[in-house]
Formats: sequence, structure tokens, C-alpha cells
Amino acid sequence: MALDLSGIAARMDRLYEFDREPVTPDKFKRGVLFASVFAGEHVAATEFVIGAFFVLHGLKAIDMVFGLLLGNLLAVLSWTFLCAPIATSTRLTLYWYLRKIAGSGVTLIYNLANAFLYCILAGAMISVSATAVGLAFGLKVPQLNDVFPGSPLWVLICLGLGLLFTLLAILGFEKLSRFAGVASPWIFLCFIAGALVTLPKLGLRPDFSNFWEVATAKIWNGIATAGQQQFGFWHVVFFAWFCNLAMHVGLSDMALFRYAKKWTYGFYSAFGMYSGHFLAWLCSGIMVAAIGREMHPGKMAFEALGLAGAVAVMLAGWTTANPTLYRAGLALQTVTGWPRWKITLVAGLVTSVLSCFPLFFMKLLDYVAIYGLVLMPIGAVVFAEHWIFPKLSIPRYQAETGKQVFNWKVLLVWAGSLIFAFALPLHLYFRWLPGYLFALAFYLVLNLGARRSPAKKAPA
Amino acid sequence: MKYKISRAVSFLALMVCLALAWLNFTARLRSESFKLWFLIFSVVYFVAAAVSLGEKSES
Repeated sequence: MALDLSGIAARMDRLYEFDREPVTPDKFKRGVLFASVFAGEHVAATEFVIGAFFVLHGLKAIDMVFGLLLGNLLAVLSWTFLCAPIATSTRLTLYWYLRKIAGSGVTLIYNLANAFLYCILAGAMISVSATAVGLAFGLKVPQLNDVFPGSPLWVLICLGLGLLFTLLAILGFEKLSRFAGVASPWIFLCFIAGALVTLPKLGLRPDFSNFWEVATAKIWNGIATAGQQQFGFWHVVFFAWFCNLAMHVGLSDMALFRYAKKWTYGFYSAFGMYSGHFLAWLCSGIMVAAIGREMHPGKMAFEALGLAGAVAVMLAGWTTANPTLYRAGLALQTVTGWPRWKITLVAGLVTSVLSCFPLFFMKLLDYVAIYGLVLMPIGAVVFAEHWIFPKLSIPRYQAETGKQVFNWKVLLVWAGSLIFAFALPLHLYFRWLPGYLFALAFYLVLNLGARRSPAKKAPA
Repeated sequence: MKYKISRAVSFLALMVCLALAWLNFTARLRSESFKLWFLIFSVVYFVAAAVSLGEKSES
């Protein structure tokens, strides 16, 4: 059966029709909204896992604190100087801007890649929730290096939760997403309260006088758990930086910043970074240290906060998985043309099956790195097109003006920079930056032939 | 008015949860009591926050 590309492109356009036009000044939002969106989005189930993994990877306290401070600063600067200026200058989503640059075919591939990556992320979140639900059934959580499910009970709980989350995503995204907004301040409070009540168990005195001693000896003691790679300062810096790579350097947060009055609103991302990716990561590290460094988010929250802790982990998993499933459904809807409920059901079933494999949950840090890496070259292409092309007199939006479905140069840069990044003899966390610079340079080189002569540039 | 009250209650419930954690940290509240009261005030928070959300969307 031949693939009806024009039909798919038309469906995709209809789906995103509501944000086709640039945002007008009357729709601009206040800065406080950006602060609350960032603070809400970046306190999620992943925080229970990431902060704990840093402890298991044997980080030293000083590397953890200063690495997170620097890495999160770099992330904030990436939002502020890369993403927000393009968003406030075009007032478009990445979808529509990329369509002008790369054509509807490339945008379709981008959407599909995003949907697949979203499904895996949602699957990992279901696994995190399963660790909390499993407490009630005495479930043995998979080991750190497990790839396949170890018990039928684990499979049953993951599938059950996956189906429940899918059903909720189908029933009403709008109302549930508003409920997720209600849950996030409480989940953040659970991180803080959980860490606070755990600290005395690690030997902290109420006057905090021995805090650094406890932090360096009992929590971030520099000793990696057996089978886990030893991490240092730069691992933390780069992880905190690329943790949301697809959103800032990859520019998918253009959808948010197109509502900003000015590009400096990018600095509001600090509210998400320093609450979720600093405080919450430190808190989950403290909690995991108190349960003998076992990767068991449900248990670590339950030990600290009782039933409320287990509920917090489950809710955090659900509030992260729910919009992720919705987005995956939206992206896939363009290809199949099915109603949203049907495609969300399919995405949910796939996600539920994926969640049974502990690989995605136990290798979450690596997965986050790969997720950002795969989508990053598109950010480089858009950056080059937006800022560098005009300076070099290269015509912009070649796909739009040439009515191309596929801008082969974009595809070549995407594939080429991924091959380049994966071939680099570097740790996975450090590959995206040279990969990004390579993508920028490669895209420029491919387009140099299209430069306009000065005479053409300034006609008499 | 109802929106403001429910919003204030939800904020207060969060503050109480934090205060309970502090009391437990300073050994003035036993772990079992802390976990029970933390759960109760969490429920209060969710009820009040859900009410305020409903009120806000209605208005």
C-alpha cells in the first residue's frame, strides 16, 4: 500500500491548525505563568529516580552540588539565549517553523520519533509508579541491571497501571492536566518533607551542625554501587544541562515561549531547574541513602512519608505519563488518521508493554541522554536557518519556497550528526555538544552553494 | 469568595504538611503520628485545591 504523504501532511496540519498563526500581542502571558509552568513541569516522577541514581553512581557531595548549580545554569541559559529568542521572533511553534524549513515529510518523521521516545518515557514512569503500588503486594522490584521482567506480579502491576493511565488519558486530558497542576506543588513538598524527615535517620543533628559530614559520608560519599559507573563533576554538569535538551537546544519549548513578551522570559526556566532539577534531585538522593541505596522509588518515599509517600510516587508517575501519552497519541494521530481515543489506546498499550521491561526505568539516565541526542540536530538546523543564514545571505525556508515535502539537506544533517555523535569515543553524556556543533557546521556547508550574490541580495 | 477560601485552605494545608515534617525532624512528633497527620492534611490539600480549581473554571 502506497504511503499517502500528502494526506498525512494535511491531517497533521489540521491537527495543529489552532496554532498555525503567529501569537498576537494580546495573547502574550505574564512572567509568573512561565515560572509556574516550569516549576510544575520539572517536579515529576523522573526526579525520584534521577537524584537517587546520582547517589548510586558514587558522586561526591561537592561535585553534586556545584555540578547541579552549573549544569542547571547552562540549561537556563540555553532556554534564554537559544530557544526564547527564536520563539519570540517567530511567534510560532517548532512544528510550523520546522515545516517551513524542512517540509512536511521531515516534520512527520520528527513527530514520529518524538512519539516513540514519549512512549518509552511514559513506560518508565509507569514502572516508577509500579514500585509504589507493588509495596502493597510485597513486590520484589527488578535489579539495577535487569532487562526483562523478573516476576509475573511486576508484569501484572505494570500492565494494570498502564491500562489505567491510558484509560484516564483517553477520558479527559483537559481536566486531568489541570489536576496534575494541583498535584505538582504537593509532590514538590513531598520531596522536601521526605528528605527532611529522613535526615535524622542518617545521623543529622537538629541544628544541622553536622550536615556536610552526613552528606559526604552517608549520602554522596563518592563510592559507586556495584555495577554502576563512577560519575564525577562533569557527568552531573552535562546531565543537568541536557536533561531537557529537546526542549531548550532542541527548541520544542518554542510552543511555550511564543507567548512570552520578550526573550528574557527564558530566565523563568530557573524556577523549574532549581526546584526540580536541584532541590528535588538532592532530596531523592537523601531518601535513597536511607534505604540502603536500593533503586526503589516507592519504598524510599514510603519509608519517609508513609502512605502519602507511596501515593506521591504513584501520582508523580501518572502526572508525567499522562501528558506524555497524550502527546504521543497526537503525534501518531497524524499518520493513522484514527480518532484520538483509538490512537491513544494503541500508544497506551505499547507503552504498557514497554513499562514491563525494567531496562527503561533502570537505565533512565542513559535514555534521557539518547532522547535529547536524537532530537538535538533539528534544533541546530533551526538555529542555523534563523540566525546564521541571513548573515551569510543564504535564502531561508527553502522547503516552503520550493514546495518540498522533504528537505533532504535537513534529513542528511539529522542522520549524519547522529552517526557522528554515536561514533564519538566519548561518554554518552558528552556527545551531544560536539554533535550539535557538527550539525550546525554540516547544515551551513550543505547550504553554502545556495548563497545569493550581492547583486541579487540588493537589487538596484 | 469560595475560590479564595478554598485556595487559602489548600495553601495552609501545604504549610501544615511542611510544619509536620519540621516537627518530626526536630523529634517533637513521632514518625507514626507524623505519617498519619501528613496523610490527613494531604487529603485536605487535594480537596481544597480541587474545589478552588472548580471554582476558578466556573468563574
